[in-house]
Amino acid sequence: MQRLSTHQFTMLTAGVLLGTTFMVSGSIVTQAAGRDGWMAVMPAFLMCVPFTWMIFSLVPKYPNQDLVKISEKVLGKWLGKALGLSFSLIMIYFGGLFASQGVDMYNRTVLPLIPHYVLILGVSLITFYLYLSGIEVLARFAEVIFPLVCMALLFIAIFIIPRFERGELFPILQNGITPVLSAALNISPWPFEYVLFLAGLLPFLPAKPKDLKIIKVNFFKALALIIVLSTIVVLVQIMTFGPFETARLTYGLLVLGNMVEISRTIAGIEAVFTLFWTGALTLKAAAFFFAGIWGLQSVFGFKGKKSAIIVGIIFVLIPLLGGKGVNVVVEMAYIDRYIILPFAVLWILLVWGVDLWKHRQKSL
Amino acid sequence: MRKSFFSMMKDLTKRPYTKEIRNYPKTPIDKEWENPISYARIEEELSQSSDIVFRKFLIRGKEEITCILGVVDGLVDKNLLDAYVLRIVMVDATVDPAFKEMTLKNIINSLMDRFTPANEVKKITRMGEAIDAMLAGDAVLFVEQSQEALVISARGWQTRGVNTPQREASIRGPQEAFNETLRTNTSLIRRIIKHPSLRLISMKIGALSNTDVVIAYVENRVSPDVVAEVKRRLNRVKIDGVIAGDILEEFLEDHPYSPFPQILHTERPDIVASSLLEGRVAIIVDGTPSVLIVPVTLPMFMQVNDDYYERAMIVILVRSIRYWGAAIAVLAPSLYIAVTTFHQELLPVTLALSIAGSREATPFSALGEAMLMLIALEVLQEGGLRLPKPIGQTIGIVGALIIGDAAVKASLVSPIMVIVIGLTAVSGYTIPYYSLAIGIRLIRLPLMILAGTMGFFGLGIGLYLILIHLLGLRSFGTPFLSPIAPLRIRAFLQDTLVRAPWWALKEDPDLIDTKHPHSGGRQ
Amino acid sequence: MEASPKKPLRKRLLIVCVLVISLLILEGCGKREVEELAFMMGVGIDKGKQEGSYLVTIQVAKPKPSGGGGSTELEDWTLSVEGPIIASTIEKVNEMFDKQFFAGTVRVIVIGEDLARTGINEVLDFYQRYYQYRRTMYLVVAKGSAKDLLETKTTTHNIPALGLLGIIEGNKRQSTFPVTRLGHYLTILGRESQNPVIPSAEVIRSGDKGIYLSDEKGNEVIMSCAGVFEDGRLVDFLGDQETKGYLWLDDEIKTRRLEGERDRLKIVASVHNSKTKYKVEMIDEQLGIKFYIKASMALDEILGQQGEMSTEEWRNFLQEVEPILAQAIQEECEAAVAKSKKLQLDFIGIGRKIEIKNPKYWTEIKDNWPQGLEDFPVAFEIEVDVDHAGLARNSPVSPQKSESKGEGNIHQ
Repeated sequence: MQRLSTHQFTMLTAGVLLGTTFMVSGSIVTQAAGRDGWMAVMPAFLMCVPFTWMIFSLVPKYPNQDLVKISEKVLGKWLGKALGLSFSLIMIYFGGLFASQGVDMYNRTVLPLIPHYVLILGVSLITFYLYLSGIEVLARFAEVIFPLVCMALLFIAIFIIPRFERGELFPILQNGITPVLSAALNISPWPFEYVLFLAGLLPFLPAKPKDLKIIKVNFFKALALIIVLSTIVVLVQIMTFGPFETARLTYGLLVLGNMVEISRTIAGIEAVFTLFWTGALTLKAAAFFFAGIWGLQSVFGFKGKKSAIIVGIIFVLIPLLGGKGVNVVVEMAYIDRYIILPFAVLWILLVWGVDLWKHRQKSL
Repeated sequence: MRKSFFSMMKDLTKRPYTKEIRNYPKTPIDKEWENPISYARIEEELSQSSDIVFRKFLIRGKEEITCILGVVDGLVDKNLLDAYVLRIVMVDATVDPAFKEMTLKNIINSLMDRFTPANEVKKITRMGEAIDAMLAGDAVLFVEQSQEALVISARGWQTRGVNTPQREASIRGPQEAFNETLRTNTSLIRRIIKHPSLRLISMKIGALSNTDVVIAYVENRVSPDVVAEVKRRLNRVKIDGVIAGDILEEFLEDHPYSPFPQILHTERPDIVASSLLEGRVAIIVDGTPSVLIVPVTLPMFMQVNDDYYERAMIVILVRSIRYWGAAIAVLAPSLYIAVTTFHQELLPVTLALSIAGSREATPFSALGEAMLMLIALEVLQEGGLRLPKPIGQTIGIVGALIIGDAAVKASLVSPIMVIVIGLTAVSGYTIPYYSLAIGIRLIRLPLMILAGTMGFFGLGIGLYLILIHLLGLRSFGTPFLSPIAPLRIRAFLQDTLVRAPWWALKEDPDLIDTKHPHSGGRQ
Repeated sequence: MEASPKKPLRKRLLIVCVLVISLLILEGCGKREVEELAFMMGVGIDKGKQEGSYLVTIQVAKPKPSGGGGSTELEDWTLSVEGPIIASTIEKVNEMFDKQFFAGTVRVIVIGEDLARTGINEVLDFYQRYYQYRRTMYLVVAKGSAKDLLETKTTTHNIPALGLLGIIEGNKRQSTFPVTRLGHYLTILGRESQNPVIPSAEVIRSGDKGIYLSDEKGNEVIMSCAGVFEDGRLVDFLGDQETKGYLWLDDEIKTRRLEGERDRLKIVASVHNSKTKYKVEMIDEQLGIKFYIKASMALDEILGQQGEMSTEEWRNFLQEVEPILAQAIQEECEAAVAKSKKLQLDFIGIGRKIEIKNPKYWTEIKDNWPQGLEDFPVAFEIEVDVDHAGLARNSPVSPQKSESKGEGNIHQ
């Protein structure tokens, strides 16, 4: 069994949490909360904290098992298997959609003439190669890619400063706190995508009890980092476009990249940034792919790579046959809101609650 | 050999160190290797070779005993043998009373104890030992009727002295390089590390060449797993002859189908010594002026010994230039292609117009042009490589000036492409190790094709594939990209992109984290 | 993953090879060599002759192919196409032109006055949507038609669009006209209470506005002043003074020359540095906005000051000059505010400024906004700091004459 180091866990957490949320976050939060949208990021991401805490609390009791196996033990074989199967299906379907959304980003901005399927095959190629290379390589990939993505985001944030409009952030909280909360609710499913991935990642976490403590701390570090980063991204967009325009743009960040001008010669470098966004995209798509296959392996006891090939084909077919453009964005938002969020919440609460209850029974 | 295609493929894709051991058919004499020595048999077998000389002479002790001195002409120091072996037993010692007491029974012991004033004399009893010793350059003193013999070390052959390094020039470092003689090479290392913990383990590889191989490591610094794994992999090497130690590289490396070298070879003793102190293992092969070092990481290939002799501040500049150079060597042509065919918005207007103007008359696409120039460049490099020095310069002038200039004037390629390819070529030379530079030349072309067909997206795909490949590589259990990923923060800061000053380096550089080298790091 | 390490490589190689090759075979279009492109430098949009159609003027830079060495010179190639929709006009051009248009290099969009008066928001949709255009393009309103402006070869630039760009980029620190990028325009449009302002450019002949060109038949393009837009329609042009007042109030003044006059004394000062702040506070027993302008300047030219002065006198003189300059700034600002009140359009963004400083008060007066501007009190507090007066103290006069006339004039 391959194991991650604590640092790798941090980077993987940060990378999967961030994913490509920075692309759409500005638009979504300002739609609901206007110029106060940047405040919605923190509560949204903090919502996943109790659930990760529940997952971590299960780890010492069931070492080397992912949440699917744990729920089989806690909830009984069939309920556990059903939950595990739906977990895998959600992960694979959402991962496919996710890849599709990334491709949409390319098609809209830098390479509108390249056919859809070429882009999908390209992204899937990296995803499969990551899968075949193993979870360790995925973790190392995160170690390399996440800092690069961070730097790219900060680079944009710094070089867009000359384009800031004055006073766009003020007045703060003009309409009270309610719009901010509703904006937070809109993006709150994002961290749960990661929580589901974490449910599958459990057996690969460092085994020593001492490390579990570090991992908990590192999770918070990664979360804080992502909150800061996402907030900066949203802030920068609001300050450059104003709330009205931010809400109107689909991928505000790509437009920002387009607006960066360094002296008079270098401009329009968003094509360069897409290199980094591809990295962030494939990292998260591969994470979903891994999680989906882990789920299937736990449910059916598959070994080897035969199942991976079949899942891989499905994984490519989803974006190939599925919708394009805004359809994908809408569908992702629906799945996020009505499937991932409730599923993650219910599943984790159920497993944790029943497990707690059983232990109570035993101790009584 | 009749094999199906698939089993052949299977065989090809196996890692070499996991392969079955191949057995070679044995010659008749090979079968007698363990027999007691019989001079008659040896003479029969070996006297067919003209370079093997048997000198028969009589020793008049108590009995008259026929002795034979067997040597390989050219491998022994004849003066030494004449003066200290033949002269003594045939002339000087004959007056010695002990000499007079010699019988067939005690002659070997007596000769060894009293009459062979050489520093290394050994009694042997087996055929194999005798033949090996002779062919390795020792003199063997047979006694015709005895089943024992004496090996007298009198090796002496023509060697190249210790020269200055030819391939790895250095400004401030020591100017010694390894040569073809194993002992000279080990002595060069021993002169730097004068501590008993430097271990030099000998073994022989090659069914027919019987090449001496020495595994060098520093006890307590090295991970015992790695040493065991090096020994295991070396033991599995079954070939006729190790013509040069570099052949072993393919047998030892973890990923044979990678463009990146996973074993470092150097001709500089100081590099070997510092690697040994870092806990790596060196493999020194007789007859090869370069030493193999395992395990290695990619950053090692970007480091030069001068980095450690120069002051740390300067190293920041020098190393960063090297990394930039490597990046340009990999990316420059493909970036140019991607930008001019897909992402013209990246070009400043004036530059875009001047490129457009200069390309107006050229017949090829940017991709075709770049490939043409790159192939011309590779031809020039390969052509100039093995030419004698005076002609080599001519090639440079013809290639660079005439072809480049004329191609632009004839509107075959655009001048900017010449600049790009020239920059690429020059940047490639900032990579210190040739084996890595060649690997980078290998990945340049696919990247160009990807960039020329899909722009930055294709380039991204290519780069990420290479990155994932690099992340998955291991050299004897050490991840190839460590300390970058997996991040070892101390090693990363103290000796990767920059170097910390010597006084700030921690004792244990933490550079090697080998994990199960046996399986390439997988469990 | 944890599968046997014995044969991952074969599979991996196979999959990677197959996918890479299929990617290469399936390679789509989207590739265009750089010499196949026509780089658009500027776009002009006018009202077409037919009702509801547009006249789109495209200015393309063509490199003069230069045989080896030497810099390539640029030529321009301008044509105009009339059509009902903007984006489709380009297609028409493609029917007669062998190159594809590349819009990523467009830096200036010129809008004809006629079109501006009927509305530009619909026109701009294409430019904010199509991926090649950038939101950093500059918007310019032509006094007259955009076509004429883009066809005016000036003496300084072969390509008029580049000439315009040069004026905007080169002189934007010399703040005499506002600089409006497409993105800025859209952002202002998104504010509910502010009207966007776009600088205007016009063609002048030799002799116009007191400018004489060496080539008497030649033309030049000058940029000055700005047009105020309401709901995408050009309502009125601001005069020179009003434009500058707007720039003061919007804190957009970086460096410029400021004239001040009192009696016979005329002075010109160059502004190095200025900062405009504002507060919502009680003015004449009513909540109003007060602008605090701080500017530091150096005297560049003094007319009508006579006589030699000692260092102390000189210091006093400089202090006397400061209110004159402050007065000049105030006049400019007042002119802008007066224009705003007259037009009942809040192009200065006073409403937005109130919203930032006092959101509660803003919600009270919001419904009655641009109309309420009319009797909304606006006050100024201007602080001018004259740092120095260049290399010399007093003006060049002969000492005898200054002594004979002398004394009296200095302390006027």
